[in-house]
Amino acid sequence: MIYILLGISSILIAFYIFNSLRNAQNSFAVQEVKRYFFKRNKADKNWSSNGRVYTNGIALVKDKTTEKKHFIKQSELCDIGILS
Amino acid sequence: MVEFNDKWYGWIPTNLGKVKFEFIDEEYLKKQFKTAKIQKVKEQLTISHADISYISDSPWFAKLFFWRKEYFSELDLTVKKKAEDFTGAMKILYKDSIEFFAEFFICSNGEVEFTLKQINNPESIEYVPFLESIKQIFYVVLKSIIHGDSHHHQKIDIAINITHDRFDEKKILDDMLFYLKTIEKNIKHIKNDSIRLKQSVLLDEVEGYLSYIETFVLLFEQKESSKLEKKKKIAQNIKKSLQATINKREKKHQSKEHFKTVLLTIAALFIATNILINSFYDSKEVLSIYVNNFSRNELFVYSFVFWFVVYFGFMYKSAKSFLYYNCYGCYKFLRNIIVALLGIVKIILIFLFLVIGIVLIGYGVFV
Repeated sequence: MIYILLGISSILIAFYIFNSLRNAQNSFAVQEVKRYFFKRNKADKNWSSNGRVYTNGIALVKDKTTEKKHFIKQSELCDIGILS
Repeated sequence: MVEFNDKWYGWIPTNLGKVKFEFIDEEYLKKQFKTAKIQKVKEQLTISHADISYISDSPWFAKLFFWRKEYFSELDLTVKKKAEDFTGAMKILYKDSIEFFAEFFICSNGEVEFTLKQINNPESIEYVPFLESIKQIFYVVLKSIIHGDSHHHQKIDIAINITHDRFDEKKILDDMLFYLKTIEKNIKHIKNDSIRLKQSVLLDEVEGYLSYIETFVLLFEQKESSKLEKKKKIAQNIKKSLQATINKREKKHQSKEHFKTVLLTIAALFIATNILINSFYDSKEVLSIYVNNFSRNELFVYSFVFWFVVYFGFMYKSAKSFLYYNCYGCYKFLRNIIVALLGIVKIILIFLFLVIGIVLIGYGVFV
């Protein structure tokens, strides 16, 4: 009986971590990390800075699959306040 | 080649109230554009092959990746002094690819009018969207050359934006106010120690920024106030800007001094500890029983490790704050790595707990 209870507790803990991960995945900070590491800070039309200071950028890149060059619009959250 | 005659406007900040050709700093430009050919003669400035890859917001490591190559831009520019005003032309070019060519006219009050003249090789890329961003780049690059940005690094910041159709003073001022409000909001929301140094310096930076806003209002205000009074106010604004720079430098200096002072104190305590320990060595004091269990070298190393840990513990928050202020890029990279690692650890934990749970339930049912 004790093993079954411990097993159920373990699965519940796994679900708890899963939920916290799912919430974190939706959080602004995690979305920003994904943009930073995997999308070259690409900003689509729906991107919002959530009231944070940011810079705008533009990059000309070659697409890996189509081998064609195209511009991407970028935004990067930056240091608070005026940059120095 | 596609020809245009598209216009847009911006403001080059000047707290003097006049953009002066004499204040374009050739040495500063040579530091900023190391590989460029820069020539400033009496009434003309020429820059060719200046690397302006900073207009890309890709993280530093993404620029190294060869699997999805990024093309970096160069700048060719000519500025000519024409009485009190300036005229000139700029070309932003991506090597073996698209080129944007524009002309500009700068009034002595900082008002600048751009005209996009032509785009060469537009067929070399899939499509040419984001013409607004390209226009903003022209403005930011020119502003950084004429103004010599000292308040912020050379990126396409959102502090002052371009306006279309006409020079819109109200929109420019609104953008500047919005930027100040964003700073205030950001500071109020971030409460960790890492921004301590930045926070203390920020007020001085804002003070300098305010002096530009005041000059802007004086320059473009419709109200006809005394010209001499305006000049006096401009002089006060220059003083404010200077005061802000001095305060900022003083705070940075104090922060470095703090590191040194604590280090010297710890070094003095380390020496005192060793003198004390050695005085017990081979003596008849009670403590010598404990001290004699170790060699002199071991005691020296242990006391060093002890005081090093104390120093690190004491300076940890200050060091974090210093790193945030001086190496924000590095700080941001490390913080993002930690967030990503935490995500991976959570995924591993989920699988681990699931497997343990299933094994335990299986064991409880069958045994």
